[in-house]
Amino acid sequence: MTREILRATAGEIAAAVSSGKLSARAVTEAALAEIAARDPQLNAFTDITRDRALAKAKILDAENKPRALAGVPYAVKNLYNIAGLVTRAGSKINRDNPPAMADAFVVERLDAAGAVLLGALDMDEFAYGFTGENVHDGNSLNPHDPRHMAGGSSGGSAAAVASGMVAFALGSDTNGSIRVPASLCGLFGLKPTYGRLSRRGVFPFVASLDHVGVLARSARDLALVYDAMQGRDAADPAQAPRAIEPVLPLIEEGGAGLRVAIAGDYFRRGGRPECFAAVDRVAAALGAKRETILPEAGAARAAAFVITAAEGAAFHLARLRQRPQDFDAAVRDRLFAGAMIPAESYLRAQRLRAWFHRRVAALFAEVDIILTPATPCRAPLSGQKTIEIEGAEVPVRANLGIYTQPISFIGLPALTVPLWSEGEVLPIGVQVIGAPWREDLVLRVAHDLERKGIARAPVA
Amino acid sequence: MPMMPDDATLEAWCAAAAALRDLPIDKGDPAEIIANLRVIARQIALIEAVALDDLAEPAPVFRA
Repeated sequence: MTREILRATAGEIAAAVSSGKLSARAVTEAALAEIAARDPQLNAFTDITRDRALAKAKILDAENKPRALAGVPYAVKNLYNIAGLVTRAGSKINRDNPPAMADAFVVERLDAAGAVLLGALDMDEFAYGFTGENVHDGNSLNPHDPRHMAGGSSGGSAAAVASGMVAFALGSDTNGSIRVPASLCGLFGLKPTYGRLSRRGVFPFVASLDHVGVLARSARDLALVYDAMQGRDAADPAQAPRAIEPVLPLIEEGGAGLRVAIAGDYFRRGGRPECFAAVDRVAAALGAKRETILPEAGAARAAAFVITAAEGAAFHLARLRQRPQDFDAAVRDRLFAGAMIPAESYLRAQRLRAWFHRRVAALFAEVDIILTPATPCRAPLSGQKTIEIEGAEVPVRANLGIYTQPISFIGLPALTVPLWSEGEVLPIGVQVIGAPWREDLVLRVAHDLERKGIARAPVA
Repeated sequence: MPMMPDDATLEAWCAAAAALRDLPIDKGDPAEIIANLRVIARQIALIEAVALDDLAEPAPVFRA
C-alpha cells in the first residue's frame, strides 16, 4: 500500500484525499516511512519536518475539504525558508543563522492548497554547482543508479521525487539548477519566466537570474503545483505585475497547431550523441522539422557565467572576508575570482543580455516552442570530474549547464522532459522553451509528449 | 582585465584585486583562483567579440 500511494501522482493523491478515499495521515505516514527506507542511500533530505507534516495532515483530515493539493507530500530545497528551521542553502556558514520566522511565499501558497511539507533537501553549496554534490551534507545520488550523480544544484529535490519519497519538490534555477537534475534523474522540471513567481523567503544566489520552480513526475503535476504557487507578492521587487494565469485548464490542448523548431548551431554541438538523439525523438513526435538559430548563444552563455560569478561574489563578499575557511573550497575559489571581475565586464554582460533577449524575442514571431538538449550527457558518476565529449575530456561541472544557461539568461520559461532509450538505466532530458509568460505552451507540449509515450518519469 | 591575459598577468591581477578588495586569498588555493580567472577571461573575450552599439543598454535590474 505504501508504495502504491507513493507511485501515484500529486493529482491522484489530492483527489483521493479530497474525496475521503484516503486520509492525509495515511499518505504522510507512507511518505515518512519511504524516506526512512530510501534516504540513507540517496541522501536527498537534510531536515525532515515530521511533526509539522503530521500536524498538517491532522488538520486536513479534520477539515475534510477539497483542495488542489490535499495531502500531497512534498519537500523543498534547503534555501527555502521553513518557519522554525535554519535556511542553510547548502552551506556550513548559514547554520549559525537563526531559524526562519516564516515560510517562503510559495511554501505558504502550497500550504494553503493543502500540500504537506516533509522537509528540506540537499543542494550544492549556495546553489553554485550542477552536480548535487555537497562537502558539508554529502552528495545526493541518482535514484535510477546510485553510483551516479543526481545533478544540481537542486540535487536533493530531484532525488526525492525520482525515488518516490515525495510527489513533487521545489528547486531553484539560476543557470539550470532545476532543468539539469531533472534531466539526470528523469523528471519533468519547470523553470517559469523570470519574475513570474515570488522569491520572498528564498535565499538568493544571483538576484538578476534567480528563479523558483518545481520538479515532478508528470507535466500535469507541474501545472497543478505551478498554479498553486502563482500570486502577487509586493515583497519581491523582481516579480512582474501580472495576474494569476492558470495553466492546468489548458494542458489538454496538447501540442497541435504549435510551431515547434529545433535550436541549431550552438545547441547541436558540445554534447554526446544521445542528447541530440533525444531532441530528434521529441521533434519527430511533435512533427517539428524547422530549425531556428539563437544568435550568439555561446556568448550569451559566457555572459550568464560572468554575471553569475560577479553577482554571486558581491552577494557573498562579507562571508568571503570573514569565514573563507568555512566555504566548500571549490565554491570559495570561484567566488574569489568572481570578486575580481571589473565592473565594465559585468555591465557588458548585462548589455549583451538585453541584446540577446531582443534577438530571441524576434524568433518567437515565427515559432511557439524551441527544443534543445537539457544536458550534454546522461548522469556522470558521483564525483566524476570530466566527461568525454566530441573526443575531448571536458569538466563535468562547467559543462552540464551549457544548454540551460543561455535560456535562463533571458528568463524564458523552460521545461525539461525526460526520455529513456531502450536498454538504458539512466534518462536524458530535452528542454522545451517558450516565449516569456507562455508557461502554458511548454506545459501543453510536455503533457502531449507524455500522452504519446515519448516522455515519462517512472519512480526509481 | 586585458583580453586573454597570460598567467603572469592573471597572477598580478589576482594579487592587486585581492589587496584592493581585502580578499583573504591566502585562505584559498591560488592555483584554483587563477584557473577560475582564466575561465572568466575566456568568457569575457567571448562577450567582447559580440559587437554592441552605443545605444545597447544593460538589461534592467530595477523597476520603479
